[in-house]
Amino acid sequence: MSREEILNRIKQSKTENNLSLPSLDIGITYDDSIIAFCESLKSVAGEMLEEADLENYIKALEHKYGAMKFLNTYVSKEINNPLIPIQMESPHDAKRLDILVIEGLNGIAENGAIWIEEPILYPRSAIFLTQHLIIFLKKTTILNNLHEFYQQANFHEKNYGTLISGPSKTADVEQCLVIGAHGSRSLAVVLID
Amino acid sequence: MNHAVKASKFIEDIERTKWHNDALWFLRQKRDRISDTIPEWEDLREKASLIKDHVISNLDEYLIEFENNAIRNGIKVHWAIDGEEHNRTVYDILKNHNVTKVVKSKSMLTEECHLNPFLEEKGIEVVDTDLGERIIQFRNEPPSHIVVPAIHLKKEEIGELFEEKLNTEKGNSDPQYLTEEARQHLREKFLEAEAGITGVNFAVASEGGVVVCTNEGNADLGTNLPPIHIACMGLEKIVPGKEELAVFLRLLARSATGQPITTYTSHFFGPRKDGEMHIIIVDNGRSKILGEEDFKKSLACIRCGACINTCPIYRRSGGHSYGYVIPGPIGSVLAPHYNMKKHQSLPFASTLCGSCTNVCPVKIDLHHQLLKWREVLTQQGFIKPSKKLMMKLMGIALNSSTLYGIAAFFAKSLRWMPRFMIYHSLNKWGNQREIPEPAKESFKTAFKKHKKSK
Amino acid sequence: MTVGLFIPCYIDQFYPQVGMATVKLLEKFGIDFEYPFEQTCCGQPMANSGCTSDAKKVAEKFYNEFINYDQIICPSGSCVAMIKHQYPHLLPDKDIKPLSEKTYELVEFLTEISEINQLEVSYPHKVGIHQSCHGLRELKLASATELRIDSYNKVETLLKKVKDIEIISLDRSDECCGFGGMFSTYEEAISCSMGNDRIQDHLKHQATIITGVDMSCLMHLEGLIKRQKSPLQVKHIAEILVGEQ
Repeated sequence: MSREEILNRIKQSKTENNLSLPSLDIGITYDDSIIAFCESLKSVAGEMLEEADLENYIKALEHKYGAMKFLNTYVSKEINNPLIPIQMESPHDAKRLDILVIEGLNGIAENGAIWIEEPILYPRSAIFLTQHLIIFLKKTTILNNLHEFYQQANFHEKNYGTLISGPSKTADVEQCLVIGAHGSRSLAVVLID
Repeated sequence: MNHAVKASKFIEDIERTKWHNDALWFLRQKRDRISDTIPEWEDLREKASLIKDHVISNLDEYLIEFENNAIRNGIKVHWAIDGEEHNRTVYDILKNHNVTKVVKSKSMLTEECHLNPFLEEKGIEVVDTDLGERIIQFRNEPPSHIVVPAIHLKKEEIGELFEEKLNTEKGNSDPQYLTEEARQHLREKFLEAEAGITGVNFAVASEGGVVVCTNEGNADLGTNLPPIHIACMGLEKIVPGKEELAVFLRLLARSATGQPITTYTSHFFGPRKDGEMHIIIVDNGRSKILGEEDFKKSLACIRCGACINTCPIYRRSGGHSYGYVIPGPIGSVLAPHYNMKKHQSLPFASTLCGSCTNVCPVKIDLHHQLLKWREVLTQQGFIKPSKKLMMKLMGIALNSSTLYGIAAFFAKSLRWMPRFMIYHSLNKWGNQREIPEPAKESFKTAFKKHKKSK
Repeated sequence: MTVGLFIPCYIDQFYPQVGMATVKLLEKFGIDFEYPFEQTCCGQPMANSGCTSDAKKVAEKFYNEFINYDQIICPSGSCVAMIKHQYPHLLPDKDIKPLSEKTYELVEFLTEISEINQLEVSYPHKVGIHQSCHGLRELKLASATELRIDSYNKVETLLKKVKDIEIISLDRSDECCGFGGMFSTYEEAISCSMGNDRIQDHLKHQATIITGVDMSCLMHLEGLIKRQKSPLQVKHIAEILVGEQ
């Protein structure tokens, strides 16, 4: 069995010492973590959006990317929008999705990332197949840095989660930043109280 | 072919070398700018280094903890002693499910194990989904960088390639356009894939799950559409817990591309509903490196590529000049472990300037390891006899003040030697440089006179 | 209190004026020093080529010649880095700490130990500083651009005490010049390309003089400059500090 062989090799190779783990009492903090979050989000090509502007935002997206048809929303608030939802039973169903509106669980000020956890109401793939992503985030959930995030995070019994920082992007062609690689072409965040 | 020969070929194209140098330097500058915004940057590097030291000295315990927790989460864990077993394990999983179409997100480990040709030979279509990886897959060549695999190519070359492979517009090499075409092409591949293979950035022991970082979202599309996810990891990818994970995630993207974090940092802690998740833990020589005191710290590498971006030799010679799957300083440190004879020139492909060591987010003593390799290679007989003899003679001369005087006499003779005898093809120094003129009198003589005159 | 002066082999043979400038500086500041005539080299060429056993013998010779001095001064960052960082490995049976702690590169000595305030020399030229890698990253004579630490530069601080000097800034202030000992011939193409890029950076910012703490890097740059018949000149920092035009 390779397992035993590998573990044996490691046991024979490693040098015993009492190196302990360092304390992790570090991490940048901000006077106003909400402002810092917004700045970070901007730096990763994400957009801030007021709840009231949602309809206009969708119009602006249509203006830029062409007409849209399907929008699914999984936020507790009722939102006004001119589009219709699709049935998403299998992961592949999400391929037709134009806009997905979901809730984020935490925002992180130092990098503009938002924590999304294993969705129950829709397939994971929807987060990445949708052309555009809108995330509702409670202001109170914004933390300064990743240390704070992981200290309070509880992954028990959770199979999946992702930190999303802005829309998908690539710079693989001659270092030119292009927004909209494989995942969503845009990401907007609606901060709510 | 050794590095120097391939490098001198690369550098013949002066314009291209400058372009390549500047492209990589741009990444280094982005790394500098973003690390400037983190007041605790150096402290963070120190913590990362300490965590890795701790993990490296307790690796077996952490791997067992990781495995136990992963199994508890419903993940199937496999172990592979080498690349061959790794490839076979992947194939067996695919075969059991009659998979013929696979999408893969970037993984240096599968490059290291040459998984693609192995699977292709068995009739399985493997599509690399990272844009840069897809480009070089189309070109049938290895990556030239571990983070930006197609950094050696100009957009016009990619435009022509896409014209041939994806039927794009003739002469259109706009990056926005080419990326959009690749998006459409790869969406189809994602949707028809029957399994997804990913690398692993971090394996969290306490959680029994893995974290994969991408900017394009290809790892998530590749794993969340098809029902089978195979994650391949080198056994050094372990971090103890989620708190330690924070340290590395804060360093990784900032060091790599100057981003505060990658766009997607996905935590795969268990299989999807109705899906299967496999993790393959691969040794492939790592346990041997662990046993080498002078080199084991290289196992701390988180594959950010910062040492590659800053390396003035890499920037002027390109990734393919190294002839190993990982180029630059970290590649030159790792490669000789696998094949000393083949990669013997790599530890000499450095001025030992130390910039690599300074940018390394986990503080690997890269330039000291390169120096150590030179010593090992020399001891093992991997040094040109002429070079060895020269060093031997130099050693003898410098060890004796009288002989040193004689050597100095010969140095002086340079002054009356005709130019054609000094500047010839065997004297590499004189190809583009003048040889310093030996002084009329040495410092020793000058100082003696100076003392007398006092 | 006696200082032992170490003048590296290539300075002895090719750049004696750098050694003499060092002597003048030490005399000017009234430092009591001796120059042991038996000295040859620190052993770095062999060590960096991997020829450890050849290097070991030379290192031993150096050790015996210098261990009894109170302080050792050398106008080369690279050689001092060799003594401080590689001798412990080359001479494992010797206690290197006393030797390495009292060995100083010239700039280090002048800024830290003798705390010089005024140099009373004038040098009306545009000078670019070449940060040699060993001086910078091993001896930490300045803050390297990779590190996020408070910025400092001992070489520049010292040069600024010279009257009428104009120190220019560079685009890549601490990129390697490509000398690298054996690297300069082993990877000749890359070595020269790196050197040329450094020279261009200095020229772009109108330097007329390139200076530094390591004559070996400057020798490499000078070789390129002379072949190209460029008007640039190289000067070791000791030469500027004694006002040699």
